[in-house]
Amino acid sequence: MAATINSLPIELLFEIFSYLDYFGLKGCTRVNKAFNAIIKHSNFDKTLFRSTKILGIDDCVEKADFAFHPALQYIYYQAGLRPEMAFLMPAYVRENDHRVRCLLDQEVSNEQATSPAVSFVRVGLPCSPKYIEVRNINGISIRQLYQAL
Amino acid sequence: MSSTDEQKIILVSSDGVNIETARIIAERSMLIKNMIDDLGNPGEEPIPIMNVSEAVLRKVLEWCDHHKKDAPPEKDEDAESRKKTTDIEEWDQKFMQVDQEMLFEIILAANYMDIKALLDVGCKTVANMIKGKSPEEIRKTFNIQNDFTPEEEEQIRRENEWAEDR
Repeated sequence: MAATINSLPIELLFEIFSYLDYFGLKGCTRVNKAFNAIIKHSNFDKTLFRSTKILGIDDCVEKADFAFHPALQYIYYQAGLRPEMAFLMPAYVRENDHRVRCLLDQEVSNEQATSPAVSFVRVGLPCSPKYIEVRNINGISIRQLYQAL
Repeated sequence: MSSTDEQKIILVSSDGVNIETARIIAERSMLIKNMIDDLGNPGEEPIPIMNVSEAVLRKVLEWCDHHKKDAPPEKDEDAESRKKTTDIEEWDQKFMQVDQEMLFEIILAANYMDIKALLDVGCKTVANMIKGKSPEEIRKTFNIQNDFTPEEEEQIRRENEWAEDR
């Protein structure tokens, strides 16, 4: 019998998927039921985030400055934003303005609100329909996000 | 007794073919290394590699030969850095230019024979084949059946909607 990708045991598919980034994984959830189940498997998040390079984070802020929570990788403010712009870091949107930008280093502090202009942040977990939303008319701090997570 | 470097051992593939190789090459495989350590008297008895056919075993040994001088994997230190990138060194890339059947056979053999570095190269190669492809292209590449019902597809699409990709 010829070996195919279906010949691989789950732990090896895990291994392969651990090299994919967010978009690669999302594509794979739609390939077939087996891939979907493996990627949504609860253990996978841990494997994934321990091993995958965090996209863009290095370009944005020092990791040490920011006790990084993997879910913060995927922050969306409003529908319609291109994810590759948003997954870098908490970014903010001015009211009625869909522009996004990364927080500058000095803005990333646990206590500091992002900016009063950000009234809600939506944080999604990859490959999961669940997300949390944080709303605060006075802006949202990283700490608030952590608490919500 | 000859030095470990020159010592020859004989492996037996799953299809019953004897393959002679140097102990230093074969010991890239932790499975073989442990067997030799356990059995003692290397070279006297052929070592059966139950799950690996001759063609695949020869290919795996080719890799081991090229990498025989590599430093043995450090225990923990590398677990992190090893995973970060899907870059593959040039020789390994060429080595992995085989048909899919062989590629997956190599991955299975590396897993069975416990050759971590080769397993990594194999998995990275497959990951690179997935990258940048749509679900349909991935199915085509690997000959995978779409077993979702239209309703299930719709469901997944909805789940992903808040963060629709490209």
